[in-house]
Amino acid sequence: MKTKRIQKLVILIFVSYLALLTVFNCFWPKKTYSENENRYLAEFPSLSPSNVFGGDFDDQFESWFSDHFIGRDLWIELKALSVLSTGTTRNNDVYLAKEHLVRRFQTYNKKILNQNMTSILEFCDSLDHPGTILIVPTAADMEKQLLPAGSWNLDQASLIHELQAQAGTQKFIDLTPVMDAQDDLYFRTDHHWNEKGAYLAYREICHTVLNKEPEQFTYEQVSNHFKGTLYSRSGYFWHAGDPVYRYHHDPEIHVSVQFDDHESDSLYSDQRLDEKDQYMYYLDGNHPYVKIQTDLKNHKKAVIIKDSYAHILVPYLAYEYEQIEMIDLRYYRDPVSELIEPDTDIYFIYSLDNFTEDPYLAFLR
Amino acid sequence: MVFSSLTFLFAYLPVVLLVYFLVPVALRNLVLLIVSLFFYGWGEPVYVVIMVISIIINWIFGNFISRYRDTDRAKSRRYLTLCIIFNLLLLGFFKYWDFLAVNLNHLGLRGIRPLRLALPIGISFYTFQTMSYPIDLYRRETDPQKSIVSFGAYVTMFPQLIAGPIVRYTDIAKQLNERKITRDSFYHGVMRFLCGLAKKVLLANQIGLIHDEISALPQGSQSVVLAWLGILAFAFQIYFDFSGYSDMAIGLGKMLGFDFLENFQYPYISRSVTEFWRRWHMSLSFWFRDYVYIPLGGNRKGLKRQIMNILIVWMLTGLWHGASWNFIFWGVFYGVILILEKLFLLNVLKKCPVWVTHFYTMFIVLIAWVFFAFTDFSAGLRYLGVMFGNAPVFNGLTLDYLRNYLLLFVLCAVASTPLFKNRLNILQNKKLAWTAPVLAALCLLVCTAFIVDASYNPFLYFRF
Repeated sequence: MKTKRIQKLVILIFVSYLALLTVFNCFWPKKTYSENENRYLAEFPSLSPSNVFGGDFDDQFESWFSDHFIGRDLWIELKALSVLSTGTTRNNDVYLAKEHLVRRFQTYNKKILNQNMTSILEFCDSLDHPGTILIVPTAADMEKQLLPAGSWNLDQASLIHELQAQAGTQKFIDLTPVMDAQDDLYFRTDHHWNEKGAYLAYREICHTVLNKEPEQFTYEQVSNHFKGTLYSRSGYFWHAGDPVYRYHHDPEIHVSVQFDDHESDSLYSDQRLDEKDQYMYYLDGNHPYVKIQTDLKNHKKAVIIKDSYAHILVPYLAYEYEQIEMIDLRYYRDPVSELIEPDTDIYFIYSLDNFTEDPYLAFLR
Repeated sequence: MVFSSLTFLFAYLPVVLLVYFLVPVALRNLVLLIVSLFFYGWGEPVYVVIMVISIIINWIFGNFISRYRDTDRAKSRRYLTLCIIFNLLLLGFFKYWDFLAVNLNHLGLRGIRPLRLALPIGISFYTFQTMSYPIDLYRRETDPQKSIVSFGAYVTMFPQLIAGPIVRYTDIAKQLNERKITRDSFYHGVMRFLCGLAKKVLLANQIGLIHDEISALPQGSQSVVLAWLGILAFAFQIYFDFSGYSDMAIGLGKMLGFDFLENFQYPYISRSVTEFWRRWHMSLSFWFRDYVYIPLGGNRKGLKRQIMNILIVWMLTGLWHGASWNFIFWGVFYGVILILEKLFLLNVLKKCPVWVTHFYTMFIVLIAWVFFAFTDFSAGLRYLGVMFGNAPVFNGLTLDYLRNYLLLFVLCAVASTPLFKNRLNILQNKKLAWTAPVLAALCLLVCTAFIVDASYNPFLYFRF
């Protein structure tokens, strides 16, 4: 008797689970864009005969079906929770460290790393113009004390020392000692460093390149709910967001910023705070070419070849230069050498993990 | 469409079950044939034609074979031969043409060109399955199926269509014509299906990621222990993937009223390689035993001939797994081990302590999986090199992996034994019977989460 009831219950659960999800799923409103994934969701596959018989119609359908599956983000969160409950300390490569999300960084591509270093050195040699190389370590090493016990990540400090040894006559700023000594230099939900981390770099630049003491800044919180890339990637959707700050200095400077597609009179883009990726608040995110003109009138110029780690640092540097040009080699194909004048300071600012994978430095000329 | 996809679980299966149970019993084979052809055509909208042709030809030849099998043995045999040739040509053309062409080109014969045709899904399974029909008819082990619809339903039946088990016609001939579905059988079908789903989604897919990561590690990050963990992860992945799929097939079969034979019997608890192969992919081993090994003479024609036969069977077994030299090598490797065991090793093993026999078996099996996992032979050899000392024994990364995945490895190890089926089977404990619905619900929820997550693909402008 009891067996019978239990069997009926199991069958009921199975059948109604399939049926209910199937039916509800049909009527679930379809979104076109996923904020968390920062991408447009799949569209319903074309029903033209050439597509249906083209060989991957089933995959296209499954993509569409799962992209719009009922309660998608809840499932993602449930999966992240299940993974953590089996004693794993990370999901989708993101550690859940104390209060912080940290991306794992355990291996790197030696070949690309060497190529990138060579590209930089050859570029500087060909111009006979020294540059400053700033390779920023990531939280996986600098905040390793936060990681769960037993975690192992690449020794980025040694790798950066190796790069420094290769740099020869170029200036190389090794941030690892100062960054290792301090906490909270990275966003808790994003892979970028935060305003504190960037300030350390600014300070080092002042000491080694500009030969001066760094300026002092005050900070105004402009957001308290920045949920960054690691938040999205990990599925830890219960995690709180980060604050975002604007820098103030006395006296304030006036800037005009020329982007490839628009102009602005601020180093910050307020409208980006309404989007998911609030890191784009700083210098409006990724652009092939950005030119910042300040009212400093000190005739100092800088050209910065960089990835997005530079975006949060450049608002500090703006207080040191009359003109800064930022180059993103992923999109910029013109010769960078044409921008360089005899008294220009050249910077190469990359995060280490990106520097070991980015193939675009090959376009540097 | 695979069983562990959202399309199958939340679109195809509910509709199929609904229609199947709504139509009169007499029409169920027709429904089964139609939905199975749809299932196949969903992934292979073109090659479904080949399957239909294969059904028609085998069915017609079957009729001729059975018509003459009692009156004119020779004629019946001729039809059988033609039928087998047809099936082998079909399989050979799609699966082995390019392999043959490439190798002949290497030998300097430039006449034939690789065609680069996609391999029809499941062709290795369904040609073996259909071939059993004419052969069993000729051997008078079964009677011809009068209805081409029922025969078609047997060949295309979606639960076992694309990854087995290889069901012999004789095993389900009766059920094709008459089958009963009870609450009890449906319940067991559901539980079996969920068990398979969990094995595939929660164990195989997850531990498979570990294998992928470890085998892709750059030279400097490898360690001996990591390499062993990596191949162990592969061993678990392939077992839970394949046996999970078989479980799902058997479960779905039960829901539809069919009893398929078991395909796996806890192979990793074997105490010899001979035993391993009695427990691993049993439907394939039986097929080769009944349709190749025994017809070749088996062990009845002397030791020399027997060794020859074993080698032939294992070369073919390797070749069946894929048209590539590493699979042939893998098969022959097993053939040689099995011969050695037959000649003397089994006797030695009998005298050894139990743990030695387990250790020996897993050692051989893991080495063999290296050849299986790496289609690139030299990559496989490099990996073996690391396993046997061409790297530090242990490093920080190894600790990290152990720290993160030890529980998953332990879970997989326990799930590879019959512990939960026998001693720890809470479902057979009357007091704990209530856990069955709880487990079922939990399994459905968590598996859905993992399947949805697999499509979660944050485009993360990540580095920038």
